[in-house]
Order: sequence, then C-alpha cells, then structure tokens
Amino acid sequence: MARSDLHDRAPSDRDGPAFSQHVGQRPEIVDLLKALDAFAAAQTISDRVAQRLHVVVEELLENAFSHGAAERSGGVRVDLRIEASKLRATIAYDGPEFDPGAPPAEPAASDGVGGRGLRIVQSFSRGLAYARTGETNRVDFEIADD
Amino acid sequence: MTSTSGSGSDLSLQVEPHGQSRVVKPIGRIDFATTPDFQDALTQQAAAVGRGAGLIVDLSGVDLITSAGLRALMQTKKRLSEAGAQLVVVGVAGAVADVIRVSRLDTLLTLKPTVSKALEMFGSDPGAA
Repeated sequence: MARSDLHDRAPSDRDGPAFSQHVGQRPEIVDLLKALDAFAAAQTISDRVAQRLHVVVEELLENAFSHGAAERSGGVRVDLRIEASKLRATIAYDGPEFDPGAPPAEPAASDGVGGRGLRIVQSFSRGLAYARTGETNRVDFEIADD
Repeated sequence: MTSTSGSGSDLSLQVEPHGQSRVVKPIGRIDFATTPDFQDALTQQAAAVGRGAGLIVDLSGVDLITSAGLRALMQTKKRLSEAGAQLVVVGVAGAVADVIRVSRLDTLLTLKPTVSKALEMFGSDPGAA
C-alpha cells in the first residue's frame, strides 16, 4: 500500500498540527471526511479553507476509488499538516495512473458533471503536484485561500 | 411544509408545494455522505412536478456542496427537462457559489436570487402553498 513521505518524516519543532488517516474502502470516505472536518475546525484556518479542503479531498478520494481501483490495492492515505498558516496535503494510493492536475475532460454530455470535479480541485488548490512511482499515485497540494 | 432528516445526517430537507411546482430546501451540507438523501428527495419531488412547472431548489441553507451534490442537481435537471418541467436553483452564495462557479455549472443551471423570483417563472403565487 502507498505511504506518503509525510507520514514517514520524523516530527520537528517546526511542524504544525498534522492529520493522517487511511481509507480502505469507499464507504470509509464518510468517516475520513468527518475526522478531517473536526481537525480543520480545531485549527486557526478560515472557514473558506476548511470548506475547500473538504471539497478537494472528497473529490480526490472519489477519483481514487472510482472503478474499485484503490479498494483493490489497499486504500488511500491522506496526510495533512499546517505550516506557516498554510494547509498542505498529500494523498497517496496504488492504482492506474491518474493526474488530477491534467486538463479535465469535457463532460460526456453537455449537462454532465464529469471533469468538472477536477476543475474544482484545480481551482481550490495551489501547487498541485502529481508524481507516480511504480504503481503509486501521489498528489501534493495546498488549499488556496483566495 | 414537510421536513425530513437522514439518520445521523448533516442534512435536513424542507419541502413545500406551490401549485404544480415544488420547493425543496436542503439545510446543512450536500456531500458524499448526504447526497443520497438529497438525490432521493429531488427524485421524489421531481416526480410530483407538473409539466410546465418547476422544481425549485433553495440552497440558501447549504454551507457546502461537493461535486456529488452537483451531479444530483444535473441528473434532476435532465429528468425534469425530459418531463417538460424545469429545475431552478436559488439562494446560491458563499462556498456553494464558489463551487458552482468554478465547475462552470453556473452556465448550465437556471439560477435565481430567491424562491419568489423562481416561482414567478411558473406563474405561482409565492404566498400560496
């Protein structure tokens, strides 16, 4: 199962509050988002950042679990930390290559939503970086507050 | 007016008939956890909307919507359109407005500022139920 470097780092005095949780099956997304919301509520971050965090993480998790990919390969790891008032996140999972920073496809139907979720991710995040090592997808990003 | 709330849910729903139209007001957040209840309510109310009438979704009580919620709205819009009716979304503000704007659904959804303005589209008297 994928592990992010963030999870393996030794803590330092400069580290702010951190959150780390694994989601093994798609229904567990509910529990992770609840825990995420509670973590965000306990921090000195704006409501806008907290809301955008929920929206972005939910979208990325739904993408990771689409077609059962992440479930078959051990789930998804979500890591967050707050550094200098910035909320940085990493999502890592094994599965088919998927870069959320790539230009989203237009929805198959003019009234569809497919592809629009990635527009939301790209608009609400900063420094979105995708890396693939072997079978592991890793997405690093900050949540934008503008 | 009727109200429902999912078990342990962060979402409650108020429903009000206006002639052949319906007003649905979700209160809380529409996300991965609550969208199934939201979708069920939209489906149920859309089935009750008459041809030429409208299903008005008042999002003024919603503090967050994700793409799961947007999918529910768009599927309902399509279903209503096939039945000769219309979806109108009102009360879009704050974080909800941000999501609808960046997803570019503001160009596909019929948006009105208030329930009254939406009901005027269908000749409904906002004061009547």
